[in-house]
Amino acid sequence: MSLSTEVAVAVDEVRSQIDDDLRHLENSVLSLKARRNALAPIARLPPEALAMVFAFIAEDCSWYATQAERLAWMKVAHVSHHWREIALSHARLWTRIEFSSFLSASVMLTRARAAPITIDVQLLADPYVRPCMSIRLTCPVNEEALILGLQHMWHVSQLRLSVPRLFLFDNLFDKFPSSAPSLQALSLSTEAWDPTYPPEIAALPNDLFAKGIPNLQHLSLTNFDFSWNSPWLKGLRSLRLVNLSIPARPSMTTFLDALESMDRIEELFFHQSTPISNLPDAELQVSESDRVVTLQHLRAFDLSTLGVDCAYVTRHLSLPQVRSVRIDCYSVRPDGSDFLPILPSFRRLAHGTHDASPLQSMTAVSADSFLYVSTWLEPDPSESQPPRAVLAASGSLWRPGTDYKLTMAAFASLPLTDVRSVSVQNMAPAHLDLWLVEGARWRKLERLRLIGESAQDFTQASLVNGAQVSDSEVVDPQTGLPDTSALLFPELQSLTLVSASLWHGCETEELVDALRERNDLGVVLPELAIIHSAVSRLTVNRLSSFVLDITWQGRRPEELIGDELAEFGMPLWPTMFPMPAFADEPVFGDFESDEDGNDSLTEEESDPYGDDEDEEDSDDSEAGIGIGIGIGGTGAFSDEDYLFHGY
Amino acid sequence: MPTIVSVDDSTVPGEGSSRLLLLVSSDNKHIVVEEDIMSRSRFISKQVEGFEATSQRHAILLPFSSFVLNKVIEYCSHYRGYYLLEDDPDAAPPGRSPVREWDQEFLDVDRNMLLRIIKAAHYLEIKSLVGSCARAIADMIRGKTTEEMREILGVENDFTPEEEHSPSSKCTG
Repeated sequence: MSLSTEVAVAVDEVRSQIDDDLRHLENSVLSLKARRNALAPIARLPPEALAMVFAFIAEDCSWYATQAERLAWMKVAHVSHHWREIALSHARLWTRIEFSSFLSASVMLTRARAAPITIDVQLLADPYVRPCMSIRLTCPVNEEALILGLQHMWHVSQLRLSVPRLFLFDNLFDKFPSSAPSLQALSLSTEAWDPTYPPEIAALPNDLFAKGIPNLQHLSLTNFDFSWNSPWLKGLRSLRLVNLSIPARPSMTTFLDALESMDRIEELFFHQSTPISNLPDAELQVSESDRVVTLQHLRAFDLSTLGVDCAYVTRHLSLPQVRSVRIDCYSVRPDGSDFLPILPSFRRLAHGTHDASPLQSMTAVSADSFLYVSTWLEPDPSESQPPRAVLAASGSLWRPGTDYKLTMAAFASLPLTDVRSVSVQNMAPAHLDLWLVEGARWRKLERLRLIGESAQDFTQASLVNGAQVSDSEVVDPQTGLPDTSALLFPELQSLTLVSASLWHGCETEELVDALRERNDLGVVLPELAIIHSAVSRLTVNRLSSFVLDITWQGRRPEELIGDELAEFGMPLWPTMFPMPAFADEPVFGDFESDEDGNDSLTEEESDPYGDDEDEEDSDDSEAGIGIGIGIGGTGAFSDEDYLFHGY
Repeated sequence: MPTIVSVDDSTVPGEGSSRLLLLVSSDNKHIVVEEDIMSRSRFISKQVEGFEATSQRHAILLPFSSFVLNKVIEYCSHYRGYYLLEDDPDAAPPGRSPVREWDQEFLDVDRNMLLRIIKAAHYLEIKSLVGSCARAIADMIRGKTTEEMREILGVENDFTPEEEHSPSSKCTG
């Protein structure tokens, strides 16, 4: 061996030794890191608690998230050995199967072991792109992966398939096994590939899960015809049926038989899926000869169909424990008379002896072709608080004024004598009866919000009412003032005007006079908020003489933030509504913000109607009459803020 | 295991109709609390089940500090009498735990305190509090990279390069 060879061998040996040392050191470092990890505060958490943290991260993903977003939670398994062990050992974390690739589905199914799994596949259709392309792009689902998932039906607890009609019959149902012993929730939905098309209703195969779904508790079918004699019904806790074809709509006998078989049912949601009535209106009222089915455990009831059919269905139901009712009627008569038969039943369902308190708040909206009344048991419901009862109606053939007439009928049918907060929006103008007749029943009303044209009627009615009370010869012996027992809303604490149509001088004067009259009668309004209403600063100054606290916000509806109106929930402002004609330029000129961000008007623009005949008023305000000038927010309304998703 | 001792009536002032419990923290602070308040804790409930309904107070030694214990008691006091689905042993586990605004404010504490509270809640078997803490921790690391998660929670990367980059080690391949 030459010297150079010997040197080379020696060098290799040394290098090899160094490599061994490096590996040893690296292992030592990793070992130390692992020991250090074991002492980290997070490591002292019990594995179940850490797994729960992972579960929260995993479940946070919405169904329309991208694949990367859906899988992002798995990064927790790449943090450390300990975290990975916990992630892999908790089967529940892997039960929401990802079907975007065969590998992901098979790995997750393996890691889920025997835990109850969820198959949730929603293929979306986008009418603006070729359907095939959009479906694959929007929510990629590997067909083999889905079939693999269906083979695990023995431990599927939730199955939700939403598939455009175009793809539905690609032998999909053939891949279903004949039984689903663990299935608790089944949701099947199909839509036309273009959502703007009318729904295409499909039929469920007769042999689907022929050997049964013994544990099924929640069933939801959209655009699927369904047998009302199905053994699936018994044991259900919730049933949601949307759009049955006319031949599949049950007879009343079949319908009631089916309901009676569901002795555990807690939620019913029927849209265009209930029996069709051919009865004349007079026979739609409850009669003693009716067969009435009592659903003892039903908590939530949602019904939508023709008005007469709503009445036909509800007269046969007794819901002694219901907590939430929504009835949405379609009216096809120009006079809306096919809406009226539902009112007695709605009255019965909207409030019962089992309710802990009376109806204490209400929101009402109407326009030419619809009305919407929702009520709560609580006086000031939060935005997220579900209403106790909702009654909606729509009629494209309604004659002008029909919405108002029907709204009045709805009010009259409801027990509103204890109502404490009310929000009314866009009631058609020039209907003083709303306030003089119905409003007079709301003796306990404390907070009133008027949106849009509703304010005009209210101020006129208040004027009329105030004059009547002032002219009354009955005098309160203690105060010497006229008896105010007939005054509208004697308990009123807060009045909010939003986008009120007060831009004509006479309307502004009516508001001022109405509140002054009230003040003269000794009934002071503590709070007045004027929001997005074209009212001049001078008017506000005048109002401040007889209102204790005024808030004036001048921004437009789309600039409001929710909290400003939270006491009644978000204002309803569907885009179909006739909006007040906000021009690009503010009605009274530019709003300016001072250093604090408060809105104000430039002096020369503050009184376009010349109602500042008394300059002293203006001076008074400068001299310190207390007026709260609010600040609009910068948040924008989105469609989701509206309560009119269904329209 | 906690030590449970019966305490003579005279050692603890009583008030109200609910029985009183004496909770002893790891820093040897004695905290008297009404049994009703702590009934949300399955651990406490199980301990109390063994007690006879006597006028004696019962002391339970707990392995966490009075500071943490007081936070837990504050939580239980706030929800005294409230029904929370997660704490119902007979109810099916909720699919998605609700976000409670008060809990978010209550748990607006530093990371170490949060970890102590969840550990105590787990020990005391208060599922609703464990859930709220877990959600708060999840909020800390949601959307973060793996390295950021390590940094936030003080965890070292103890994977070998091979483990870290091997496709077989990836959760979804």
